[in-house]
Amino acid sequence: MIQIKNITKVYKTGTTDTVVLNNVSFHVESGDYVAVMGPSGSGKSTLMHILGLLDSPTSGTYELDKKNVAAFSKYELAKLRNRKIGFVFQAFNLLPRASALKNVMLPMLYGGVEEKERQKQAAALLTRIGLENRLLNTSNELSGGEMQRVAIARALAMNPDILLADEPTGNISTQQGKEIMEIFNTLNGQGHTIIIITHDALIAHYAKRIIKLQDGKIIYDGKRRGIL
Amino acid sequence: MNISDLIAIASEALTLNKLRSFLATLGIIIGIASVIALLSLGEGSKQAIKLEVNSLGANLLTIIPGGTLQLPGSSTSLTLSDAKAIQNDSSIRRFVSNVSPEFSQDTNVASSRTYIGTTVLGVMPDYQFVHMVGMQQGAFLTQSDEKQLGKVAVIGPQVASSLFANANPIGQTVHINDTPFTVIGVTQSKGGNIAQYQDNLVYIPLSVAEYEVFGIHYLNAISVSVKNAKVMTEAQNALGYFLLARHHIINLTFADFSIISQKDVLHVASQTSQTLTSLLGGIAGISLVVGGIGIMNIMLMAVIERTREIGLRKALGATESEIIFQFLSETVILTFLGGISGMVIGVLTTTAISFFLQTLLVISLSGIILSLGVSCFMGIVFGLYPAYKAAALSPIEALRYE
Repeated sequence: MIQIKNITKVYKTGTTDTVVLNNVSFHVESGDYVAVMGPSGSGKSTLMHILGLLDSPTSGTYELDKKNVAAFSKYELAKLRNRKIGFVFQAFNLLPRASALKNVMLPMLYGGVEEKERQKQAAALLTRIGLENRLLNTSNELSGGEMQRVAIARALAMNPDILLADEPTGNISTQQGKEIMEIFNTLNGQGHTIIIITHDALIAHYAKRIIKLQDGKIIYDGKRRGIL
Repeated sequence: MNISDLIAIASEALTLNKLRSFLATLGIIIGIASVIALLSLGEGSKQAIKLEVNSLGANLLTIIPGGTLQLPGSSTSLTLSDAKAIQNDSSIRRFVSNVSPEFSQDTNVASSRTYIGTTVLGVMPDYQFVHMVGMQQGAFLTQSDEKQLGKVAVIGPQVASSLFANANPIGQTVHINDTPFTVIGVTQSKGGNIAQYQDNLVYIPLSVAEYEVFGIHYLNAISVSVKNAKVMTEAQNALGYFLLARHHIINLTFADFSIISQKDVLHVASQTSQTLTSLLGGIAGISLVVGGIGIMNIMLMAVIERTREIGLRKALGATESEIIFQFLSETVILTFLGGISGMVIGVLTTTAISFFLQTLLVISLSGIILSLGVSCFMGIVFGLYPAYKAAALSPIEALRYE
């Protein structure tokens, strides 16, 4: 499903070149549950942005479903992000004054789903993650855990193959974090490919596979049991 | 994303900050209202001028003494025999229906109780037809008044009220240069600004004016009504050549008379009004552009404020064109609503001004269409830059924006 070959990402700051990812290669199969771990500045978030088609590598190739994404136009990349990838951010990134329902409907708006169908599907998704009583609450009326649930429901809106989560429990309590991770477990059980970026070993513990980054290089790629 | 989605998203964004949206459109509202009010008032004044000039007489040509050079004696160059010759010439009669020789002088006119300074006109009965004079009371001067040197006068409604207040003026006596005249009629009011002076005139038979009151033997106008508006130029040329020949003038430069066409008067008056309307409309148009720049400024601020939202939308699959259309539709909705509100205020203002100033109410449809078109066009023009700026944001940078 995902094939990363020799990816390097260099940021230029004035005359200084900072290598954030250095010759990174790995592949992710459909249904995988991967935790990308590493300390701050190891290149985790940059890798997630590249995997999520929000950024492009300086060199190397990224194949999604055996197609090199470098060949896609901005329009095609936007459509791929919409249909293929669901994002869950550490800061939730919900529209603050929109209801939970409207937030979940958002990807479907860009996916060309009709208004009535959008409402129906968004309500069903929120019910599925236990927020059936919070449909019309705006995000500033929800707790951190509830906001992240809304973000997960939004990520699932277009029923994407891949769920990319960047520190999904970073802004919520331990108990809420456990509940969120259980949702990811269930989703993986239902066939979604999940890639979680985290520095927290307890969170990575939910994944089946660990990729560990340090200074932009992969220092471990294998089963969870091999390292945790 | 279809149009109804765009309108819904834009409306939601705009209603989140109603006061700011209202302030953003205020410039457009004032601009559109001013353009519509000024164009409508200008159109109204143009129509009023047309009506008033036409009320002076249909297809009117006025021959006045004096040419471009104002040679000595040219102010007395027109005589009654010129008027009679025009009336009797078969080549001129093809074009002309009525000829009215006129002499006017400012003098005092007195009743038994008061006097006023006004213009006294010595005219023949055809004056009534040439200048379309209606009668409010009594009758106009007749051929027999002219032949018998009748000491009779027809007065304008303002003269009647000044000299006789509420009393019936018919049968009363007025003195012009110490000659007593019996009032036989009061003309209908012409009103307006241009034709209003006709309400303040006193008409007496031309023969009486010439021989008994003023002692002159020349005219200061010959008014001619042309049969058909289409032959005004031919009639003007025919009259010109006829009078040049009668006055033995070979070179046109030395002509001792001028011919003024009502069409020319109308054209000059309309042109003046049009110039004034365009000038005022232009000034209002500038306020419209300033309003547009105000909207662009607000939208640029909105793009900065909503940077994270833009990043999120792009991450969730919004294409650049969808972001452009989203922001553009917000601006177009703002300017369109501003245009509609401005239109309503402009029409109400025009109606109120027309009501208070008692002027002709004409709502300029072209002004309305133009203003609404311009406001939507401005929405696109002034909305494009902020929309492109929003669409060009990198999703990662936008998501990181604090």
